Amino acid sequence: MSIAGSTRPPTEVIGAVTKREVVLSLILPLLAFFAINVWFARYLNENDPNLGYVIANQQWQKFSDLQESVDWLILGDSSCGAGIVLELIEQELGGTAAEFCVVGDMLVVNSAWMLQEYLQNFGPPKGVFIIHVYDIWSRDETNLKAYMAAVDFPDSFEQRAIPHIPLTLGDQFRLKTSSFLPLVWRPFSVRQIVENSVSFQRDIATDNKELVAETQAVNLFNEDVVFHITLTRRNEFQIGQKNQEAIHQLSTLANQYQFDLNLVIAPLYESLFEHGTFQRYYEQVIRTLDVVTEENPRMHILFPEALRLPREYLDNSVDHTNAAGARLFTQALIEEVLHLNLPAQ
Amino acid sequence: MLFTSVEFLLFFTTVYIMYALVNNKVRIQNLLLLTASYFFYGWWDWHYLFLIAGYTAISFFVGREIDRSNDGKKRKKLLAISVFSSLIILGFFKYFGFFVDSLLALFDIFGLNIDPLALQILLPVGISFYTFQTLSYTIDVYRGEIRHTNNIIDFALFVSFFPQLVAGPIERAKNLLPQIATPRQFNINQINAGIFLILWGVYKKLVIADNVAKVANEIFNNYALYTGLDIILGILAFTFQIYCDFSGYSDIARGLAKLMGFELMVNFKLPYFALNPSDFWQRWHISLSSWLRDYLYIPLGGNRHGQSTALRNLMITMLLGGLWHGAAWNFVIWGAYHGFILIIYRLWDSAHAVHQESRQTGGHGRFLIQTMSTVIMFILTMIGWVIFRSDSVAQINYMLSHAGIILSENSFAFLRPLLFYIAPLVAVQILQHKTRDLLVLTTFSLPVRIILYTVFLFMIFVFGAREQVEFIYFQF
Repeated sequence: MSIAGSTRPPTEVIGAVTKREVVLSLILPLLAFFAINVWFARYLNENDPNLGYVIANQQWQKFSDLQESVDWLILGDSSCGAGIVLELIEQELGGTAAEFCVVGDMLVVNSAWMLQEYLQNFGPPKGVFIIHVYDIWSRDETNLKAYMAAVDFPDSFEQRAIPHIPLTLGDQFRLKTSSFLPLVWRPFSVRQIVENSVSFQRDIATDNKELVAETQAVNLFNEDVVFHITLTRRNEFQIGQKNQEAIHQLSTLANQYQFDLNLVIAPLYESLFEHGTFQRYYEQVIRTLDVVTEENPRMHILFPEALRLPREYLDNSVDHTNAAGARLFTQALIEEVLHLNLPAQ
Repeated sequence: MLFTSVEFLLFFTTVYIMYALVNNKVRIQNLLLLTASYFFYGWWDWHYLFLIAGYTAISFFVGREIDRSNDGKKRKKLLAISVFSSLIILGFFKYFGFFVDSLLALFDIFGLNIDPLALQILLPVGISFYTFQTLSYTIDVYRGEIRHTNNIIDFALFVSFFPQLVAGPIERAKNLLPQIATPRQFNINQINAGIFLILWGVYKKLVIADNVAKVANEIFNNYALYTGLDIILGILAFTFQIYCDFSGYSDIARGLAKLMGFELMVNFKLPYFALNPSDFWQRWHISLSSWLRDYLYIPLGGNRHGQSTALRNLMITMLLGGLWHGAAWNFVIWGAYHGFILIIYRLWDSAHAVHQESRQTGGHGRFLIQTMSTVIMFILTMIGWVIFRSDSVAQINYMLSHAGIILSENSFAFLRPLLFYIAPLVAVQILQHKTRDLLVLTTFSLPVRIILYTVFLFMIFVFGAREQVEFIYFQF
């Protein structure tokens, strides 16, 4: 069969079909599409390649399962998840500690939500640490809505959660259908699964795996450095609307329940501060947070200068500590607590 | 309101249900479609509605007067009014921006500082398409090829019919007006073809065009960073992006029309299988190329006055065809380039009579000649797209002189998505080419069609670009 067949351009030939055929050719693909959705929904429950969804779901599950109060409550984003050693806190400060750190795209809003739920159930703990990296304060709620659809929140949580995220009809439809229509609402997770299974890339030779992994880690880290420098060079800092509401809600809760709330700035790669534009952006973030904490004596910022770490204490990004970095950060946090005279045991 | 948006899905579903409810009541259906079309167009910017209503009114009344009059001079004068008023409005919106900078510089000389924003005029979406459509109407009435319609609702619907309003196909009154005027029947065969065209069009736009656009944009926007095979991959990506974007739109438009019982003209017939420049223009944007042929090339004299006049007419037609896309030098050069290769082909063809030769050669010889011709024409088309997509002459020079086969560390990253997204398209098109049937997939057995449509849905939802990217031809 030759590729070049005829010299004449093709035409449209409308073939004869029956009504039944047309109806079936419409309905059956939709049913098949729905069945594939159901299959992927089950598969993604256990194997979602989007670790953000997995972490957020696991943390909310853990949070919902919490049976009794803790002394040290730690909330925040992935920098918090990577940077806190609970055993060290319990050992040095006494009492019990728990962390429910999720991901940056859930904003400070998630911290406010969790704190609100916790306080309603257990009252104030001895210490609350809300740990966030500097660059999430400017983000808007676009990705948060995706997480709201993917995370299994407690019943009727969306109605009572403050800050309230206004949902359009489309958003509400998404929330209601996301658990069984992942092809529609979580396409990137499905895409990743498909791409991984039909990858064009050849397997890396086994004896080179460690070297390649090391090279990849270096590349990832360097890319993240470039990302942060570019971000701060191209943008003026402005706090996101929902983050602004979240910080006010945190302040309200601290007053209402009479406890000290610590906004902790996540550790950062030290070399970032050598860049003037980064330094300027970072200072804008701290100035904005200062305004809120100055209004409320129960709100404190810990590490306003950020704990600046060299490369060897960091993982693949500028704000994720490795095991050694996590111990260093947790120890520094403990010293801050002791310095602040929080009621350590 | 893009065809691929949720808003459009809701809009069309509502309109279609209402349309079906008033089946067999053609006047009510037309009124409904006209209202829907104006709503659809006003969704972009309601100010545009005055423009399209103005176009409609001018063409309707001029057409009526031309039809009524037996006075040759009066008819000519009326035609001139219609043609010039349409072209002046089109020229104002389309080419005003081109002169703004010069105008500002001129004002500056006289010490007048004008805010550039005050001179910005937003190009009404689809204006090039419906201008040409209304022009064809008045010209056809003048030529006596069609009679004026007395029903302004029908005529207004002909101008604004929403499936093809903003990016064609540029319909002819003699094809569309009779369909509007007579009752439409829901035809199951037509609906079957319509469903396929919509799915295939959305697939081409969201899965192929918008994904390969990422490769094309990266290389065209940062061309100085790339050499060798990367540049070829960038050009290849744009070649498929523009085809899938534009033909995808046409497919959706034609599919929607079919669902409502209308037949719009086929706008693309596998253009990248063209054997030569002349063949290409019988396959690419057919509604525009045939418009230019009928209303420009032939009135200029076509090939009736010897070869040199024919070649001159060809070049004028292609230059204006390029200019139709906008007042940018690259469109003019692109038109000139296609005019040039058409002329070279004509000269070469008349000297060598290649058609006869290829027809006489049988079996493998014919296959080789046709394959070679297709490959050469494809490369020539790609060169044309470099001109079309580039921002400067320097960029064209760079990209054409630095293209090659040398791999870089990026090449695989560009090649992978291209293969993934383009290979299925090529497979389908080879099948369409071999069977000479653009709807060949609708002839497959029911189980195969069900699998195919499921795959389309899966690919559209999972691999379709989610950022709403406007169709390229909306800007023209």
